[in-house]
Amino acid sequence: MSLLSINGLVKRFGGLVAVDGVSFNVGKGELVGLIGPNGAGKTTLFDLICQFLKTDKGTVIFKNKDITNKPPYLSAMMGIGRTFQIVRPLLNLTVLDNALAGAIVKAGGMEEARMKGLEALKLVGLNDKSSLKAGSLNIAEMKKLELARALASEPELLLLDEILAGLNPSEIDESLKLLNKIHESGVTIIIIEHVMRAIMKLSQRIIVLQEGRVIADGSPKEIANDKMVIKAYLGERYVL
Amino acid sequence: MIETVKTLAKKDRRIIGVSLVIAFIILAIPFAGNPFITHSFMLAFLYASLALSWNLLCGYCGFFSLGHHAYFGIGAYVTMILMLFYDVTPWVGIIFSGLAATILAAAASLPLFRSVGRWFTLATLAFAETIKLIFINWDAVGAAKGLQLPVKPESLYWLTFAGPEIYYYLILGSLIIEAIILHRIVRGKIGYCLQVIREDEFTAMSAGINPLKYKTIAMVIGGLFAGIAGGFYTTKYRFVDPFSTMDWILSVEVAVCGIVGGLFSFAGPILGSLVVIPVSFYVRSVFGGPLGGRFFGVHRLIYGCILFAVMLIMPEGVLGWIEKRLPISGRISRED
Repeated sequence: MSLLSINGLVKRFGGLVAVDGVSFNVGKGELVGLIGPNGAGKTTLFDLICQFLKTDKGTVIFKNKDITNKPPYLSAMMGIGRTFQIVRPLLNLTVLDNALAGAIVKAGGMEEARMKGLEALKLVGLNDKSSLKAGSLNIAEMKKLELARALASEPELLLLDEILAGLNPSEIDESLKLLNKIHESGVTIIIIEHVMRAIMKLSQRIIVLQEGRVIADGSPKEIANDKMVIKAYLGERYVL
Repeated sequence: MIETVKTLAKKDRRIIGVSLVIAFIILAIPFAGNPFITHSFMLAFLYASLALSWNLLCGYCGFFSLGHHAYFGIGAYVTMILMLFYDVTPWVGIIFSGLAATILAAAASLPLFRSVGRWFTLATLAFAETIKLIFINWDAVGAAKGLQLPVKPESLYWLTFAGPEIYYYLILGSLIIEAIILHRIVRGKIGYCLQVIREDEFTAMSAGINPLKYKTIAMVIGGLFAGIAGGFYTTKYRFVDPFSTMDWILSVEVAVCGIVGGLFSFAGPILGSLVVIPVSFYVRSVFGGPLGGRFFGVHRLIYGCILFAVMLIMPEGVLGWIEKRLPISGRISRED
């Protein structure tokens, strides 16, 4: 039984069809890469899964429940954690207060939430900055903080939107280790990423979007050799 | 490590010392035997309880309301109606005042929170003015003429006293209870979630926080304490009408108290009220009389100039100004 099941999702912005009949299933424990050229509808698809945008057509089934067009905080409470491509830190709050936001709803009180927030900060390596204002972090740290907040909510499904963008190669390797660790702990992950080196190494399965449609769905190897994907996105034969 | 413990202890001693002196001054004011000063600080406490309840939504959640006078007015009317028509003691009446304002706030939340930012501010103002219009035209509760309590002998049961002294302590006591309850709330889950919503509503939702739920909680708690303050107003002034208890200037003054004191702190609105209200009271009594006869409204002009001066000298609010000069920062401010 799949954890997440998307059936014929359609989202229009005026005349533009951003997501045009996307369907796929994600099983429990999978690590799926979502790639495609800019404007392919990747982030819009995330917004539809999290219910941050209203779906025009189609359904999102999570844990056998139809969550289409339900309030976004409900899908978060059911176990969908996400990070934002354009980071959304709580600038006037401390780093710890940012991280514990994910834990507050399920936690019994502030103390329990603080513990969970600290654990998440430790995992992403921000625990030594916990008492700083979030506004004083640099962009790489803010991306880590996004991840920490999502982790603090102990999600079953984690949607990561370009959390590697802007990191240097050694930071990327570090993050890949961390993502593998999170995945091994049993979290299902869907990740949007443009850093091909990383996504090919990390994912077990890759879905390619173009102009709001799924044009390929398979293992990294299959994707790297797919003629349509090469034409639409990879540009030249991508060597694994 | 030992060093920090020592400085902390020193800091603590200083805070305790300053607090004791302030507490002594506050408790001793009525004994100075000047009913004018006692009255002005009694009013300041009343405004402080309003500003404190108003700031839960404004400072902590970023929703600037100009409709707080509706809850205050409802509270004033409920205690009055119960005393006048049903012979109910104000001790009970004030509880019902709080309840009535709570219900009104809960009912208003859903439509009001459909708007954000300046539109929310306008919507709250329009809502409160609508309530005022209803009371202006409601004959059963005195319509535009209002309601007046008959003169009664002094009694604790009817909360009837000649001078302002006992009201001073009553309203101070209710302010202290309110401050303790609100302080617990803002330090807990509710206060935290409100701040997350203030910073970014989308982030809050992605963390599973239901923004409408917490905004409504803040509005309802704010309404409760504003209603109670309205009840105390009735016991002191024994007269309510839509123009004095539901005037929108009331909400503006509450906002001024909050802004002058400092919105981003728990104690700011209390300090702001203790500065703004006695000054306003004094200026009105000195310049509102004979001089005001020749130059109508001159007291407002002077009051406005004083406000300007305070804002120029203390742009971070009274509390922020004090914290910068006394080494007690992080203690009463929530930015610790």
